Amino acid sequence: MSPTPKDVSTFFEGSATTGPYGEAQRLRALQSLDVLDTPREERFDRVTRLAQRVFDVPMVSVTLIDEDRQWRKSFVGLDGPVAQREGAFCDAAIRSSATLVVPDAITDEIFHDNPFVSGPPGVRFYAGHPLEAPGGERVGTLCILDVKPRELTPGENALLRDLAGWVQNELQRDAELERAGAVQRGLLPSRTPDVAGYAFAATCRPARGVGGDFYDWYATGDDLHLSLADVMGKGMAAAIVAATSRAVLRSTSRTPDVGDALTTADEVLSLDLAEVGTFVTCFHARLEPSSGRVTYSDAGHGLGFVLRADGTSEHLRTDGLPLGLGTGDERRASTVTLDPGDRLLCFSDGLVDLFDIAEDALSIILDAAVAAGSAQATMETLAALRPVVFQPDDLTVLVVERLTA
Amino acid sequence: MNLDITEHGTTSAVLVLNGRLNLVSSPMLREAVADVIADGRTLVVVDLGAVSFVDSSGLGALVAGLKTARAAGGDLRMADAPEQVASVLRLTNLDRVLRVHPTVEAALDA
Repeated sequence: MSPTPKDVSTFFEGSATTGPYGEAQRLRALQSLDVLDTPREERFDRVTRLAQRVFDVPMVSVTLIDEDRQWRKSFVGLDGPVAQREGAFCDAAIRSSATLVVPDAITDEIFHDNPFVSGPPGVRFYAGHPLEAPGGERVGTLCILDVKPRELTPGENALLRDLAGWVQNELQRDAELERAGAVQRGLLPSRTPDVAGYAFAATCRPARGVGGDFYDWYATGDDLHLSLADVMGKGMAAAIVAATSRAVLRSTSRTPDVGDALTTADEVLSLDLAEVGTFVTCFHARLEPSSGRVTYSDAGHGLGFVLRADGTSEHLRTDGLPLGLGTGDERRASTVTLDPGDRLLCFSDGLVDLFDIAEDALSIILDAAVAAGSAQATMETLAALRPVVFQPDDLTVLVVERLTA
Repeated sequence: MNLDITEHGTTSAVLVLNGRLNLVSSPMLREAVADVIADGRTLVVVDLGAVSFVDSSGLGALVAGLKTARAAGGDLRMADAPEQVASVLRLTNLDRVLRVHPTVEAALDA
């Protein structure tokens, strides 16, 4: 198709039509991509570099049109990530689903007195193809610019469209991850158990939208089952295995002994995980609220503790290997009693990875936990130990507190 | 992470790792173990002396290497694990299956 002729008269009108949706929805879609003001990323930079080479232009940009500015996720030949929205070529380009091509802005009826033409960077040639959010909202463009006039052949236009499709896939891949994250959060318990004499707190924060950690708690008769598990690795691959592991562990809820429950879970998971080459570490426990008795079995997790009311702590270990290795281990359970004022604490190794020596890390974490007090404060204190920006691993914390009468 | 392979006799190989054994670098270890075993060297010793950090993916690569070696009638042994690696092995109870020897020579002779 011929690139230029489109109804340009509405380009800069206030009530912009930017796709099949209103501007407010377009901005919401842009926000939910979670890309604005994020650092440069190679997955976008390689497209802009490639575009610069193949089109032989001085300027290329992946531009997103925010409410009152253009923000460039990736660019070459331009002086920074931010420019005004008013009069922007890219703002014009998102008014249509077709490529906007301006062969020579100085002779163009619409753009000849445009600020980006009369002032820096002195644009003469512009071609931009819109980028869509998953719902079809046009949120930005991949555009190429030159300070000399030029034409875009139909073949070049097709190439620009293909590159824009590549950028769009990269933008939407994160949105996909976000939806997967929402599903995974839905698999976590939606509320804390209501057990007289106890307080519960837990958090699970994946490093990348989704992750391989989870916790679970559910009543079985008068007792309460508690699990915290960590699948090897990170991201989507770990999340798929985590969902399977959660279902397998839940299916053992009628097995009274937690050691037997893990033996069964291990048998089932080993069949699947041997193929995948991964494993799951897990702390699995059953609490009898009336007595405070906790029976537990540890499958290579190694991060379960009791924090006593007097400030001491006990490491809850059994000798089980991680689940899914196919070793056919018989798993044993051990017992510990929570007295009033005691806390049961379990977390994932995302917390330990913060520090380089695991055993140093444990003493730092336990000191912080002991000082924190309530279940809620313990969970919050440990979650805050992790740097907010740098997230090396998934992080999960679960705390049960037996309240003083 | 760097990985160097030295061959010992006709049936053994020593893999010397240097750096962080994590999600990014562990596939390199998995491939190296598979390669030396495919080459007929079924006793694989992994020298961990210069490994600064291991995470669960790194442990996964070691366990996978052990399985591959055992399936070929051989073994995978580790040598000279630094404290961080040793403590992660203890926490996960994997020290029950992934044996660490004090030196490469001890691992080869074990």
